[in-house]
Amino acid sequence: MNPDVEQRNKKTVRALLFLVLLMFLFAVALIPLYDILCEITGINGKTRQESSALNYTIDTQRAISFEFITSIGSGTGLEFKADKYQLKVHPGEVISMTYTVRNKTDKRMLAKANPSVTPGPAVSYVKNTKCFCFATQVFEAGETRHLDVQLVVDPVLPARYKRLTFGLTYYDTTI
Amino acid sequence: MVKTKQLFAGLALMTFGLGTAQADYTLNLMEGVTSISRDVYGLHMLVFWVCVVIGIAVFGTMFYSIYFHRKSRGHKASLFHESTKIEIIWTIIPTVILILLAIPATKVMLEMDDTKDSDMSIKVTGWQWKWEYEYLDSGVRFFSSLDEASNKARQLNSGIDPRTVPNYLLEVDKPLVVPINTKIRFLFTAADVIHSWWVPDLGWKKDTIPGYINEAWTSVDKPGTYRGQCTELCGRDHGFMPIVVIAMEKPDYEAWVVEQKQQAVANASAADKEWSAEDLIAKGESVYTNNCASCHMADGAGLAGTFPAITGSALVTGDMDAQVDLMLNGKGMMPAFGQMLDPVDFAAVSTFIRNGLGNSVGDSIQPATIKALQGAIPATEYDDDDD
Amino acid sequence: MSAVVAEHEHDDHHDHGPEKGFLRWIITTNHKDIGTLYLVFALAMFFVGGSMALIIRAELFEPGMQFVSPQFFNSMTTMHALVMVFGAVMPAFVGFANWQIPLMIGAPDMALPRMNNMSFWLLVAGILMLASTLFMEGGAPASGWTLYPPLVLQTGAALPFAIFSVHLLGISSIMGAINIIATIFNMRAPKMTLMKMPLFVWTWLITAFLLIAIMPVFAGAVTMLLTDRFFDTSFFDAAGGGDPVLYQHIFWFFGHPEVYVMILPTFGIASTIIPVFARKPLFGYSSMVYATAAIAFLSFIVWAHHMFTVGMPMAGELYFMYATMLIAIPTGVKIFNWTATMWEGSMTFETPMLFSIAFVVLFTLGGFTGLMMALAPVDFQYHDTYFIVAHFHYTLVPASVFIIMAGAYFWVPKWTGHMYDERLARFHFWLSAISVNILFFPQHFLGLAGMPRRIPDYAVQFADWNMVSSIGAFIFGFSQLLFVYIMYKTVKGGTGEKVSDEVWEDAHKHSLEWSLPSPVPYHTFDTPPEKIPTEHF
Repeated sequence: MNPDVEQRNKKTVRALLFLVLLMFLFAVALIPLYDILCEITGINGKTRQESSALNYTIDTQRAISFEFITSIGSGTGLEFKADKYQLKVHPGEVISMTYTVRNKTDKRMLAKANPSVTPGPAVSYVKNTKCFCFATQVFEAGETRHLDVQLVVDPVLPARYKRLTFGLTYYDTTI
Repeated sequence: MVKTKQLFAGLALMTFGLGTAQADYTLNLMEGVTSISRDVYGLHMLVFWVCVVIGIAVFGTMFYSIYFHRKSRGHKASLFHESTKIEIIWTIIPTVILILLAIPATKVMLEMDDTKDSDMSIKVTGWQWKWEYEYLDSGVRFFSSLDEASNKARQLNSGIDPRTVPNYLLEVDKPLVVPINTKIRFLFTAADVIHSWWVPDLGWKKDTIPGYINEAWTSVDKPGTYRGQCTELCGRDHGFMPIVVIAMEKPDYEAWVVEQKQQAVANASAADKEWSAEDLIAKGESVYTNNCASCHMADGAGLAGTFPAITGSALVTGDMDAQVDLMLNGKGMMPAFGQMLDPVDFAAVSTFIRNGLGNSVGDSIQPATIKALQGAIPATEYDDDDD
Repeated sequence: MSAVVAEHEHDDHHDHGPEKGFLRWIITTNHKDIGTLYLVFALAMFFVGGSMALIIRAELFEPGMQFVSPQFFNSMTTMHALVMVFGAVMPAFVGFANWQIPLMIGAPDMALPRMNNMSFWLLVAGILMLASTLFMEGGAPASGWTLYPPLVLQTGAALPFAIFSVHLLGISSIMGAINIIATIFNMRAPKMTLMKMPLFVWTWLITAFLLIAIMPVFAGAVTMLLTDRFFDTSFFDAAGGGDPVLYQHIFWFFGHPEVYVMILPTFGIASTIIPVFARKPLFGYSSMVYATAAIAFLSFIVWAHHMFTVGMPMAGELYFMYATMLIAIPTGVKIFNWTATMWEGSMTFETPMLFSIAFVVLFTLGGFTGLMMALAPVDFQYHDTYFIVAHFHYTLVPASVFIIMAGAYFWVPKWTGHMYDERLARFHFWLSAISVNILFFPQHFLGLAGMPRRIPDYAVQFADWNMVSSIGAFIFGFSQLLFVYIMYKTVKGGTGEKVSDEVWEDAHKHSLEWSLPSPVPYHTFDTPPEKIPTEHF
């Protein structure tokens, strides 16, 4: 083959291999990018733990329904319920709910609860000031525990949202 | 004349139905029983006719050309090969058509998304391979799975002709009951893998995804029974988790709710009474067929490498507590049946597998014991008036 | 014709013909040999994947479970798709690329001949590893070719092998794509400017860039599946705070361009064949190039139309609906251009032309259903039903597969110097064209009537059309044995008549390969051709 062409081939291959590497890194980078996107758009309805207490002025002019639903993953031997299904709240006020969790198994269990807010796009207005979610917890065999959650709805919540649903799903993460 | 008519009718049947004229036989999308489903149907027909018209124009031109511009007819090729004007025209026309289609589609889309001001909420959880329904306003909660007749007939080489089974694969043991003319909000989630909840008559489907809550709404305007299926591949029995929705007049629905609540109380007291081992075993067999046989096989032999055998299992023939714990709380692929079965069914099937399917341990467990294990937390307080 | 005669002062393998015997096929670096290997391998895989499809159609012939367990049925749908996509359709087009790109641009070989050999054998290794999962504990993957978590994580022992085979197939594709791009960029005859290249070369250039962009993304996604299963990460695992929908986004970012990888070379071959038999230049050459590029670009920004039902925010649903509808515009331009190419032509209807016309018609049907599904609210009804199955099979079988067969009939006389049996070939065409519609058309009805896809058994009201579809499947499947027979006979001497250099009347006006002798010598264009045919004759 013509040495000139060979030289050009080498250059092309190098450039294309670089592109391959770039695309692979792009795939890996999609994970943090997606998380950022989710925070902005609420695609997956995940709330974040707030680092500090929030002081909103309470909007007493309107009330919304705030619902608590609970789920457990398949194969997770927990019983998990919220005390109440729904509360009428004003945006800006602190919403508290107590959940009861019981380990039904005769073994020690590690478990974790993941939150999800519906409708998804409203997730950025739901501030979670105290939650047992995302942290791995230990439940002794047969143990019952009461857990509190505190949330605040940002008063800038658009008027089209009249009801927000806060779901928690428990998963057994014992290895 | 009559004979000719019969002949034509026969031929038509041969072509379109091949003889077995089914009552609910359709070639087209169903219009459904909600305003949304009718909008969707209208959109479907609109885009269908748009395609038909474009198709006639394009194929008409093409076939005209194929017929007249052939060498065997002595047609000489003309050598034109470019025309910016024509290219621009056939870029703009489709663009206009697309815009005209996008407008109604956007309208329907926005309407579908509007779940606010609903009258009631139902949480739907997908499990491998059954649906869990929870009426968030009244606390009624149950699992819905393939009915026994279909389940028997669908086993490999069951010898049962599916045509003899009413609503084969589209029948469940406990249907979802809803009132008509009521805006119902559904919340969808899943416990294990992704499923998708679809009743064609409602006009949409929605995926149920672990860790997610998806929303959708419907308002059925005609009483009736509407059937659907899971539409996201969810493992082995994906084809066997139908959905049945029964829409009733409001008073009937309210009576149904009361009945469900009474039933729950009755079940609780049935669990409190003492059951004989024979009764439990007899009841346990059908519970086994409906809930266990799809993995552990009808004869309890399991599936090598994937699903352990019941027959001769060390767990099942050993300590009762360990077996009940596994069944209650699940592990890995084994679902937690503690939530799916009421105490009587649970005790029945626990006793059955120890004394049937080739096992003979000889002991039994009482529903009351199960009931104590199943739940100790007071139920969530529901508000009946959702405003 | 001095250009094509092998010149002896050249070094290494250029001064002799092919190796003798079996070894030739193992160590060959000749683009024609490797092209043949790809095509033969693809043909074999069509039959492997086709057999799986026939198992599926046999089980669906009647309601009730007769032949296989539901788990095995799911393995069949999964493996059928993986084998057909990665083992049959893609390799077939790579085979055509290997044979034709150097011939069409006046290059002596591919730019990187040794890598060419390696990418073929990696493909074989990848497919063999994938096939081996059929015999593993827990069975082959049964989660659909999309490998959605969490379901795919329930796969038995096969999971790491399936994922590793996907890696191998990905590396093979990437190497093939690099080779094709390097060849097209650096090896063209001096007068072969980019805008004079045959459209097949153009579509492959764009396809190769698609492959390089998407294969690493897919590799990344399946690697994350692997670490989720074995190294306790939770990228996609809801229990660990991961997100199963994220996988779907990544997968379809790969998956949507991937389906275009299978259709763009199809467009290229159709655009090559139709002008030859219409005896006209291709209508709107440059708009064809731009439309191909536009389709490739759009393929990267429409992925979530596969996910309308996962519950995206409204803005996302609307955006993906509008973007998807846009694809209809460049695709429409292509169909109109082919029609305009036929218009006022002097057409003859040899088998390659018949398959190409069938492609234009039936692909357009697949395009229509594609437009219907682009409307998100209606897709809520169509999604994951047999309507979708009908849609993508129309864009793959009577489109890609028909064009692969058209290409084989079109070029095999050039490659072998023998003419195929035209009568038999036309019979094969009509059998295929009719049966493929019996096979897939009723699936539209089934989907609209409410039959979900990927189910091993169905309610009895779906029985009749399933039976029709299965009958079509068996006719279509067995008709393809005729194709093997015709091709075998052609290679072995064909009809006996010696074909001319240009094979098809005036073909030399369209593309370079037709001015080479028939059969094409083992080494061609050792010195670049002086003159190139232009589209504007």
